Amino acid sequence: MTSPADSAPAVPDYAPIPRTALGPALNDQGYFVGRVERNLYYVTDGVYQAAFLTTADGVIMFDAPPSIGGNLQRAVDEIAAANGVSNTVTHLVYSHHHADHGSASSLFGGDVIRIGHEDTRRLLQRDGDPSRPLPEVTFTDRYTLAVGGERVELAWHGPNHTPDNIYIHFPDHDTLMFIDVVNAGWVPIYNLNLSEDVIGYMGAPAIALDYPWTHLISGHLGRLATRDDVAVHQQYIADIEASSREALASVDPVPYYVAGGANFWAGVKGHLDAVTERAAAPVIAKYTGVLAAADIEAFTMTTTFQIMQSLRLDRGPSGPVHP
Amino acid sequence: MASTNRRSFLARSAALAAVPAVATLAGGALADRAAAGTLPDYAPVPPSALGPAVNAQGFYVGQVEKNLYWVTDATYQAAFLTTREGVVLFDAPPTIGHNLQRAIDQVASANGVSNQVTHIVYSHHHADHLGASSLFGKDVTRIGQTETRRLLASEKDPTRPLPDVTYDTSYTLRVGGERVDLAWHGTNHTPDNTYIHFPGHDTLMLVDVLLPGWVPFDSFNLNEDVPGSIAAPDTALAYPWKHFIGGHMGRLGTRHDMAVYQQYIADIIVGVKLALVNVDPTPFFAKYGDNAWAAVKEYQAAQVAYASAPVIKKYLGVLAAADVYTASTAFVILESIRLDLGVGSQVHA
Repeated sequence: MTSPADSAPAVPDYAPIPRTALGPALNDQGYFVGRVERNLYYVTDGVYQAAFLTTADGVIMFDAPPSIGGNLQRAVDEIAAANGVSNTVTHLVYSHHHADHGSASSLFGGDVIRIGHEDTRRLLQRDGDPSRPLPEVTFTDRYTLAVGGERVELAWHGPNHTPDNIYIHFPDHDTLMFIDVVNAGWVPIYNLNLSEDVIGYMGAPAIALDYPWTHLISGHLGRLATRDDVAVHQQYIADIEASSREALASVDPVPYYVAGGANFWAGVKGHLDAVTERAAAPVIAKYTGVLAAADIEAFTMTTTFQIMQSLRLDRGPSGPVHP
Repeated sequence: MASTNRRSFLARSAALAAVPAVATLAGGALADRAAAGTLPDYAPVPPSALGPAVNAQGFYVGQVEKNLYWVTDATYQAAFLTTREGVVLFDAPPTIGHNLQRAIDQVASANGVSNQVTHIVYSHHHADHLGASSLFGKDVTRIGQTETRRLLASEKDPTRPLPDVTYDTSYTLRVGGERVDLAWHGTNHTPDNTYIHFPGHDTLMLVDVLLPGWVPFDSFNLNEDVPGSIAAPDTALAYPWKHFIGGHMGRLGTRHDMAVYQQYIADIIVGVKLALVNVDPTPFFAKYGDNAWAAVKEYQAAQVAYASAPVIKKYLGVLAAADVYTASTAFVILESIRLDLGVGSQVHA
């Protein structure tokens, strides 16, 4: 009946998003399908992205975001009809196990060959979600998928966004697909795009750039990404790291712990909020107008908090040693 | 109270930040805000959350059972076992630092046993629990899970020397007639977090999961694997034990503490599942148009408020700081339920 949203005070206004962040307009059914290169295509609903490759033996789908859902097959049909090729999806590659990129998988039925990292299979087994059938074909480090004369190279280079997130390289299409690390033209959402391994997430763009490619399918928002987009993202993260080190060293914690008293978590929160605000403020200012949604402070702030904690806990030292 | 002097506050704050040894009071506008008293007020901490008073040097050492002891600075905890061949130390938090050896010296001299640390067991790789390891020199045998070694090798922090002895799933440590069972049961707080069971002492040590008497720290205690962390209390309760060493705050835990913590997390999960169904996203997406991230942010903030409000109310006076960190934990659990479990996922027609 009434949700908090109905009775909530007016939500805030944010800065207009840079035009460069936006992709092509969607059709009446709510999707856009575009050619990446030759027979490689991407589909978007403006927020999520999938890709597909038409081949002599059928279509290979890469991810199946539920928000695109039934429009995935419509996009395939549209392209297949225009080019006189098969519209049957024969293979589905999972980039990682998350539901928001995989939950339309079950729409393609039981006869599709699903391919994923061995940890994707393990995590999907754990999650027990019928909308994401387990991959039958799994790999540990590398897998070459050859279908209908096409070649796709799948590789796992360690945990980043999730433990199982893979690099999907199309060597003959000058394209890399790598999901949920760089959001083309936009800042990452909360907590480094909700990433589990902070160090792995921070190192991932350099691995992506080691591959030869011109087009990046990043899984989010409306357009494809370029190598420049990855460089801007890397700089954004590097700025947060530098700013976090400065703020950790310069914010005096004492007043916060005095104010918190016996409530140690209150002291900690006051102190770390101050460190986070100090570190994030110049980054938010620098990237507003450059990366869309940079002025949604919670995103840059929570990303800063995660990086600052990883600097302490993973890289160390966490603080001075008691004398 | 001794803890109101500046030196104590600095030592405690060191737990959370790489502050310089001598911090200046001129911390800029934000610290000024703290000094001006504009920080929010929170509910008082329930007395049941607090542990014994620390001594003049800033630590407390207590017997867990027989020759097993724990040391705390009221925020971090380590443990040690005295044996006829020397002392086995479990974790070495830098905030306790040199007080680790002082605590051992105090217990060893009272009992006429060796105060020589011969082994250090690492619970997991994080610097805040291990950064005093290097104080014990090179001749100590360090023991840790395979992943602990791999992560420490990549982190290259000289204060946390690599473990010499590693294991994949289980290891029985036998020193001076004592036995400790180490086990890895999958990822939770970190990929390498270990269950340390003392079968002869009715005790389990599992760090950074249950913080007895307190809600988890920010973002569900910064747990990397959320489903693994939600499942960890059941794994812990499957062991026989009476005393629990959680690595944090000022007191030991009990099986009752573990049950309260499990219920707290279960209550958050219930709230999150209701929020995924009951909070209408439409007004947020209508308002923000092209700015997809603005809609997502405000929608999820409303879901978190919906999920956490009843939990905060229920646990105020039960778990310390329920009003400080519950929302941030609810957010992380919401994302896992959405992304890992797929709850609330709607497929476009």
